[in-house]
Amino acid sequence: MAEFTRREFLKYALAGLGAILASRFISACSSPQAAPSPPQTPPAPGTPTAEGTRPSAVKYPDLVVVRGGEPETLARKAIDLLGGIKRFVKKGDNVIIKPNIGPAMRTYEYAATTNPWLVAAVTSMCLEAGAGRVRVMDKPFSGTAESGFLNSGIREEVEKAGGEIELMSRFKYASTDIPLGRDIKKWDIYQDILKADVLINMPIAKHHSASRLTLGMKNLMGVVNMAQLFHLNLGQRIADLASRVRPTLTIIDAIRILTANGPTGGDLNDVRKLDTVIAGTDMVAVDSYATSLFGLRPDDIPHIKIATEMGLGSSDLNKLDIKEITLGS
Amino acid sequence: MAAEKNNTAGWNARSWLKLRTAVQIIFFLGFIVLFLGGVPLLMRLDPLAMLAGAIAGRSLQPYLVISLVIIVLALILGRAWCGWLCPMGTLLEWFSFNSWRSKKIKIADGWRSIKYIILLAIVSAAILANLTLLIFDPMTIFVRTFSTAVWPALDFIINAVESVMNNVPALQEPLSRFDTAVRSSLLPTDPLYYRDGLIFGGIFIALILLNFLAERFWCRYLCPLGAFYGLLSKVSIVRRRVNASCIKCKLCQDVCPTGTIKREKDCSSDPGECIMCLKCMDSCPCSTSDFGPVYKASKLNSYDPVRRQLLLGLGTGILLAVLLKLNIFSRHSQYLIRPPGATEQDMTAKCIRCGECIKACPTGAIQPSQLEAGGETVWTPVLVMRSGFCQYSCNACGKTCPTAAIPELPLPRKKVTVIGRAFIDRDRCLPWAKNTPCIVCEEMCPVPHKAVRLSSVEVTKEDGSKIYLQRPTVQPGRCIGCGLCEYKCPVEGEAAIRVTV
Repeated sequence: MAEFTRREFLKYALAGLGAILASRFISACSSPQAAPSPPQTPPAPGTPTAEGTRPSAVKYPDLVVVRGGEPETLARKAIDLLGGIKRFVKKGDNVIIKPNIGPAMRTYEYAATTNPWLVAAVTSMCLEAGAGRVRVMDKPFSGTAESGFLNSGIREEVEKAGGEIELMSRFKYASTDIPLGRDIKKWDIYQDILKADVLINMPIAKHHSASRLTLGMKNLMGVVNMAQLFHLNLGQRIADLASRVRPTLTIIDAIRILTANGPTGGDLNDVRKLDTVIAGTDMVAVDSYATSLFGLRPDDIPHIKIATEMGLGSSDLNKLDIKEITLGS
Repeated sequence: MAAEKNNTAGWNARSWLKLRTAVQIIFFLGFIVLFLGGVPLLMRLDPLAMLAGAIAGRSLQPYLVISLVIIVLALILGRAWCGWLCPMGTLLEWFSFNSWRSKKIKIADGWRSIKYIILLAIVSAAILANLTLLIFDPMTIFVRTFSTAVWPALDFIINAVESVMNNVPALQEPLSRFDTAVRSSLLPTDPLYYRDGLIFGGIFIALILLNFLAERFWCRYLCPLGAFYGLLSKVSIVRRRVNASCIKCKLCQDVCPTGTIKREKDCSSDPGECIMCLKCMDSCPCSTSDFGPVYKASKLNSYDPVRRQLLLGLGTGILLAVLLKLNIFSRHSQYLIRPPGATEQDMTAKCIRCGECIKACPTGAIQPSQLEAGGETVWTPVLVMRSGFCQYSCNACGKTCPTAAIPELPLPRKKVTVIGRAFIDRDRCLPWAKNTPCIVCEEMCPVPHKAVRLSSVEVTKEDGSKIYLQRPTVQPGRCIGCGLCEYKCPVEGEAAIRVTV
């Protein structure tokens, strides 16, 4: 074997570095760096994030509520009622699912993190619809990402279903304009979330002392940096973020709900088992319905009220086409 | 390799050198793997730290058997550890700067005493239940530097390269897979910062740069672990031998990395300095230098710790142990938060200052102490909640600690172990001081029934408008001092909620 001298090593290293810089330059010239530009007017409820929205002639319910069944059955039924997964996921799509894995130290029984089988079922359905890539991600706040993926059971179930767990890498956050924002006009947002063809928001319904409940809109605080600064004007800032990050579909896990000591939980006495899933394309509407699980009204939740005022969705449950079914009855 | 020197078939000196290089590489990589895996075995391979720890901690532990085995090996093979296994020695050999060193620099042999003085000082201080001087142990230097400087630096570089590569669309998918695979287990998700990381990195670089003065400067003159093996080598069995047919060509003297081969002494060497690298054997043109059994104690040299050095070393240790006890620094800083279950006494007498826990802590909360606990416990672990927090379901530090200075607590016990208590500084807290809404500390609190409680008030702001606020208070009986509230507190600079003893 020929000797590999230091000089040669340096030569190749420099060449490699040059190639990386060149490729960066080329990619910078050819493709836009930032996520697709945001809408300048309030988007219609349920407009997918990506360009090329998919209007459909058929009228689907605004909101579906499915009760009584195993997580997978609940997920499949809910999405079927909304028109089937193929309404949302096309062949080759880049899909991101955002569950709530905020508290890194709890297992699913404590209802502090989204039910792993529910997440796995949605992952499977996206793959069945021909999605190119299905990634599940969140950034736990009370421990390492690794421990959160492990303790919540989400890593195990998602990988079994064929999905990928992604650790939210710090180099993928970038300062992003929020043109419709009233308080925050710019924030560090995870770019892949904005670039995804399909974003499925999968919160768990939990108690929260400031926003009273954490549901779909609040769950999106997991895709920004320095989320703790949202608290200085929580309701408005959650709504502002919701104007920029527009999930294709929001599926609320109410299989178990946490009624007190949220969002971290830790006492099984605070958990109620409801075996319910609420889904829809209008995140505000889905959140609004979920308030009823806690005996609250949409107006009780500051960010739902503000989001409605901003035209981000509808919280008037009387005007929505809601399809409620109970399985096995 | 065309110009093989010993072209005879079979095992020769060159083969030994190749074997040694292979062993060095394997062990160096092995140490890195152990370091990353947080396996306490790494420090347990260091008999000096372990025995000093046993003396100071007044406790015999089963793992000391490893030290005994290593001592027996040293009684057979002398300082072979230094030349074959020691990660520090290997690194110093890779960065020897041999061709850059000026030939004019000559360092007197008397300097070799320094390592013995440090060793004796460590031992006499350990007898007085003080382990401060283990900061000079090469294994602790190695691990501490890797924890606080090398690894964060590597993370910084990797992240910088990743963010460039992420601009190439084709690389994005493999990149996110790579990142998910290595991060939060091997590399941190968020950048970690360590106090004194610059000092540790600087010391390490300085030790390497000392090679400009003499090859393996650290091993020859300073290393207390080398001195420990050096003393055992005086009576070890396998040693370098030179037979009478030596022509005094001085070739071996030129290659000897510790400079112990002296032509004026018939090309003989001091087994206390010889690291068994076998380079002399390879360089010898007439095969008069070899290694084999010698059954008598070696002669003492002027630099060996016999009288003056012995007294100086033991005296230094006693003096330091006593002076550091006098504690001219504040002993009980209110922010002296120790890892779960660790006591102040264990931090002085059991902690070997290796920094394994610093690496083990996944959030970067464990930092080397400075003088907040007094000079005696400098560079022992303290928790700094602005750089990390004690993760609720984690007992990694106790699992990693090689001397049980941090006890290994089962998780259910760890979750209720109180390491401090949070208090709210109402002059800084947003809802208390500025009438600004914020409940982050309550939201974050991981104990099942929230140690931070909120009380609702309606206040009138300066401009006359009314605002509804939730103000936090700490329920001291519930707080375990994990510091997640302090870590996340959105107040700039010093947090408005802080964990104190």
